[in-house]
Amino acid sequence: MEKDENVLCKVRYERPRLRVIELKAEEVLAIGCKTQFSGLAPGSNTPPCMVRHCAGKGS
Amino acid sequence: MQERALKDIKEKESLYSLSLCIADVVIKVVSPFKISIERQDKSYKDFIEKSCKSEYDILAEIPNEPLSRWINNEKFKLFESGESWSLYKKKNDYYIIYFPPAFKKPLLVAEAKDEFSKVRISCSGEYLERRDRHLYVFNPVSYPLDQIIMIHYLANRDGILIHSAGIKKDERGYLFPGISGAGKSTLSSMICESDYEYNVLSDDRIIIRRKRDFHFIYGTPWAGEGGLAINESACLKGIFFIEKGDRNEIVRIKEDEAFRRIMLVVSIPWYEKGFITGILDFCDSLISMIPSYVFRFKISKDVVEVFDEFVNREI
Repeated sequence: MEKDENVLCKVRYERPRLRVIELKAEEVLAIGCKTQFSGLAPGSNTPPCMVRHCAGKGS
Repeated sequence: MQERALKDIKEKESLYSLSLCIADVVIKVVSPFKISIERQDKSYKDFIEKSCKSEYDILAEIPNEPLSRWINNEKFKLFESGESWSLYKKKNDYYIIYFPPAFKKPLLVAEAKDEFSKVRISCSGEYLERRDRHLYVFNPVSYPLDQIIMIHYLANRDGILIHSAGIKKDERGYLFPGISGAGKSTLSSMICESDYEYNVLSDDRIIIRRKRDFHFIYGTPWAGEGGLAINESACLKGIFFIEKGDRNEIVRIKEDEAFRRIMLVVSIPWYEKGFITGILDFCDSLISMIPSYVFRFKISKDVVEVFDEFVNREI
């Protein structure tokens, strides 16, 4: 009688690996802004990203 | 139900309104003051609805009284951006405080209820202007408040915001995720300038939504350096994580590598458990259903040709 190869084929246990992923808020949480005209700062002609010195981050 | 809620508000005071439509989500802004969009970024042009719809998904109400008090108790604070905004939670309501360091008090305080489908936005005097005997409010539903609202609204509604460029051709969509400096705007510009008939949905931020078994990508008003933003969508066919290289090549990557990469560019409000699980499930489904690649490119004339040939052959 032939043995069923599928029954004998066991899956080898692989220990789960922990990978650390460093998340950066300034990339994804509406913090940085390179868009010069992304709404002028209220009451002025200065873009808010210039006021808060965040131009250059986030895009 | 929505019409009744609007009617109730309108009966209290005569209101002005406008609608923004981002990724098929209609945000209706209602205000006792005329709403001005003149300080709004030009990339919003495609997203502001001229005919104000009565149906909406998010109601953003501006109260008659100016901003005077706001929550600042540390024990309710969930997140501090470190630059311009913070988020508080009290009972089931959330409070977004928009408080850039150059100002002495918050510019905006938004109280969000019902999983961010109802928002009440108190504006400081900086947002108000008297002109021609009318009081105007500069639309507060703009960056960053609109983006913050959308991230939280979509979290448990099968949608995510991703730091990515996105393009479409014949209703087929392709994503180019990448962190700052990866080349999203550069690649988007090259695609725009090429003879290939791709439309750039955005050169910086894309919304992905799942409808039945399909994922759709949407342009957003939050454009990058290239200012590319259109209010269109396409069915997602491939995710290409971009890197600058010394030649043009596209290599398929496994799901675990794709998942690691996408975690770096998806907007996940990790400070609140209730928002995390929905987004992680969404990313898991996205990566298992859509093929992922690394797209290394150099600034060259043939980069779009290489990409076009690849998607025609492989996807």
